[in-house]
Amino acid sequence: MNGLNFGDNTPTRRLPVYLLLDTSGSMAGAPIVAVNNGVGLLYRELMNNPNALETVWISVITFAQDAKRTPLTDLSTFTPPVLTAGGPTALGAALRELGRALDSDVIANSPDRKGDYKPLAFLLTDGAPTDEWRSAAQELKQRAKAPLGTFVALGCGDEVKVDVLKEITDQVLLMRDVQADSLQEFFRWVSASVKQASIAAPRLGSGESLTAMPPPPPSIEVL
Amino acid sequence: MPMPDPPRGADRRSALIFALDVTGGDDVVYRVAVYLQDLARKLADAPGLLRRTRIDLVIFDAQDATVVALEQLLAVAQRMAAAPNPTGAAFAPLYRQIKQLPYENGGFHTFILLTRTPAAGWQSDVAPLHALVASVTALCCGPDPAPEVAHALSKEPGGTRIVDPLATLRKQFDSIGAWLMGNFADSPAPPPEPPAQPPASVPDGPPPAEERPAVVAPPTGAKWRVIEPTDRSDAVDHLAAQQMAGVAGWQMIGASRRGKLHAHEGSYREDAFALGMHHGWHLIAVADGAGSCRLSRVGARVACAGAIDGLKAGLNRFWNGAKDDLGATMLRQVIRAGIEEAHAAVYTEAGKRDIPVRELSSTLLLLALGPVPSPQPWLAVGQIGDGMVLAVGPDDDLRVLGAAEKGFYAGETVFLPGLAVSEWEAHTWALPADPLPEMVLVMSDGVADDLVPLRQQAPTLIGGLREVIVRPQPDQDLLTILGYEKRDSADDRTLAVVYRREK
Repeated sequence: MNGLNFGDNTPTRRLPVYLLLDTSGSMAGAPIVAVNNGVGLLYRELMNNPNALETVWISVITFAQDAKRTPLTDLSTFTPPVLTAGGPTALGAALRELGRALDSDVIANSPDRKGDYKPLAFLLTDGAPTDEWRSAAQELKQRAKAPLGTFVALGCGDEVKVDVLKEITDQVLLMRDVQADSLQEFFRWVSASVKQASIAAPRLGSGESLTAMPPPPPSIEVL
Repeated sequence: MPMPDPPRGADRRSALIFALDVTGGDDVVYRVAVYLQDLARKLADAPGLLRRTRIDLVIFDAQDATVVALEQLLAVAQRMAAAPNPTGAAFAPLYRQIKQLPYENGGFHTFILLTRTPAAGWQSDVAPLHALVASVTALCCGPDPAPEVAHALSKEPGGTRIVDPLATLRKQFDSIGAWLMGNFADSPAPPPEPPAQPPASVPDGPPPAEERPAVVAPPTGAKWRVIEPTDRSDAVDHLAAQQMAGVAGWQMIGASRRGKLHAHEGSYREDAFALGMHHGWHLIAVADGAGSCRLSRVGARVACAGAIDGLKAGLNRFWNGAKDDLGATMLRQVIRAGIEEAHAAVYTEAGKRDIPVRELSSTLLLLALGPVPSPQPWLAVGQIGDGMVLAVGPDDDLRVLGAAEKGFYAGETVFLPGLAVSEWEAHTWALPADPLPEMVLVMSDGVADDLVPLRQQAPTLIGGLREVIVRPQPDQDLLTILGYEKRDSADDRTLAVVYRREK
């Protein structure tokens, strides 16, 4: 006897991961290169994990003058974008873009279609928002349809408005001294968290969120 | 110095070719590819530029030259750079590739990005290349390529650029970008002069080291591994199979396999099942330990054993052979007794070990089919969490018994210790087994998930089961057919079946 042969013609379950990356002018130079490297690192780390490779889908939302979003793409065809920095910090636009992405991307569970796992979002910013962000933050928190599973915000440097981030999500991290190495560590932590989520997501208790994320690196404070 | 043949009219469309030599090692190649991608994006976004010129990205080595899409540039460059390149590149493949590109009057303007000194004999390929293209700008990227190659390759007006150290590459590309935009994009300003050459170094110095993109090893996609757990406490066999004789032509089999994910992590199977017989009743319990809980494999085992005991006790206490609604009510009490005993067993185990009961979280699926033989057999089901109980009728009619109570998202489920006692009853079902099913399947989510959509996928499993049940060791064969390969199916798989040998 052999194993069954189901064929592989059914859509797979996806773990959507959204990266919200600040590409405002203050990120120019070393920080934006470190972020580029970080996204590359994240991609590589996840590609090296077979479970992540089969489940993780990524979309990148950058924000400066306005917010731009790349389509949700499965990991094996995802190409890390090369980001350039310049302009103000349209964080509100990015949050609204995330809401739109959740509306349009996320597939609900149904008997005839494998639904997605709870999406994850990671926000990285080094400044204060220059547009209206509060209504978008509230909409994200209160959304009934396709809510976020986990939303982590990393504030970088002295200029970042921690109070703003705390209004956006309960999971706020702070990197006071922004170094290329620290940013690399952050992205390594993001990849560890995504890997963990891709393992834990299939067996999550109802209403549970991914509390069991790995501890962030020492250069990052948990607020 | 003006560009030759400035293509100002719509009828004079040029081609900008950026040819990246991928023989210089993945470090250098990746960095150059990152900057090239950036440059090509900027050019493509410049107003009107694509009206006046095409942009082609070509990747080449000693054997091949390939046109790649912008989105694929990094991935393809990484892949080709990682392949062993015994020599530097050759220009003949590049020449042949350019020749195949449609000529659109404006001429080919070629930027050759060298990452290594080309293979011996390159000199003879320069003249044919020069005859074909309007201009060549050669860049030696990094310390390896010999500058004389760039000098020989360059055809005015781009000239030679020696980009060493490599960190000055962005500035080189910025100046090339400004130059091309001045010539090809919509701009009220007169086109700027090409930058002075050769800008072997830049006046304001190389950017700091950390601005260089990191070297990225090409990810190839990981393979699943099979690892033995190192911790032997509470060890669980990776494979389990069992059969149990029933009555009146009925039979039970069950099988459970460790999933790819647990094998990859070197952890144990967290699914469990148990079979039982009691006065003409066929009893099945399947539990799937919660992945986030350390000892859920123990919880799953204890819950199954407890549930079978509880079902037997419940039958003794509540079942008196009543029909119709009264029978259904009684049977739901029987199932509730199974849940109650499973719950008690999990709490007892947690107490013995002095651990929070949450550590022993699992789902629980219960089935009681019986009594047989009798004029009116019943199906009674309990379900806490995901998985599926599926009755297969005489005409392949599929009936899902119980309910998985899934949330909006996949994987959101409830577990036995977490469910309030007052909720138990709502997780029980009982109905007359009419028509009598051919088989009833009780499965963990690892199997149930592969049956989505049910009517499309279930026939494969049912067909396999029909072959299994006529064989001498059906439980072992069940284990075998559950060893199928399927993408996005990495969970433990457990399936227990009660079936009629004779119809």
